[in-house]
Amino acid sequence: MTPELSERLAWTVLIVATGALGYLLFNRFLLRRAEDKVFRLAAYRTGLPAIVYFTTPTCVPCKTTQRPILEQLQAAYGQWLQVIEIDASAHPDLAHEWGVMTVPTTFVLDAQGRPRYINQGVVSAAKLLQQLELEDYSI
Amino acid sequence: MNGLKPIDHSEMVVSQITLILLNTLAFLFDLPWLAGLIAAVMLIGAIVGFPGFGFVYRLLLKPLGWVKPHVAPDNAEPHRFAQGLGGTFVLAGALALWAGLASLGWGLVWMVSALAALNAFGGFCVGCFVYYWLARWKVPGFTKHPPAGVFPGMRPVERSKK
Repeated sequence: MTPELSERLAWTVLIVATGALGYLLFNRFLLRRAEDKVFRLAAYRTGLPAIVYFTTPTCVPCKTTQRPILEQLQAAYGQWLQVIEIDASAHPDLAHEWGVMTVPTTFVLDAQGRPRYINQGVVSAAKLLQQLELEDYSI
Repeated sequence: MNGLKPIDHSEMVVSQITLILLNTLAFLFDLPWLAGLIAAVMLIGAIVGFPGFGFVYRLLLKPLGWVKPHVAPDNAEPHRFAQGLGGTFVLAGALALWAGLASLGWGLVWMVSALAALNAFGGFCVGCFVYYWLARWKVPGFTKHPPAGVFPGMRPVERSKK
């Protein structure tokens, strides 16, 4: 690798890392902003980890991928987990309050109701289990 | 419905990610001609009315089922304007590179990549935001307004059919 290419590669890594850091900070901001919104969700029950799932009726990846994943998790971990589904098209005010920019979007809340993770786009069952810290519980 | 049309946002996202990858390659291997080619594709796409690299989605990723459609009612014009604006900046970057102004040239190319990333991953289209502001100031040719309830430039979520 020539010195010039190495230098350009280093710049590329630096720029991409800066962008990724900005993205992480923005997600952290969204999570912080969602903190006081949790207890205003009528379906939310305190004391249980939760997934707040924003979808719309016409979202294809929601129907074909995300919902089956959430149904699978709910079937397996029903007593340790609550899934709150929100139709972003029917509740644009909630989608706006929570900073939802795309569907599906899932917020993972811990048992105290603190938003811990945000996933924009389809997220796998394994990642959700890891975020919920439920991967040690066998199905 | 304010002249909104169903727009497949997956096509635009794929086009933006392709643009970012090609811009990165152009920078890495110091290829000003590639930046020029990217600018040409973006500008032609803006004139014709298609996302510049949307063909990657239409001909490859969608038929393979790797990327699903994400159709939402939106205005096409702000996206064309945004693409034209991006293409102009990349063209300016390519011209600066040919003129020997490497920092300015690559700075412009990276700026377009950053804005494309903001649109692809954050759902915010800066060029559309500029378009809507120009429409608000009643600049001739800028006639569209954002879909109801959507912040100017933000990607709309699909509406339920009622």
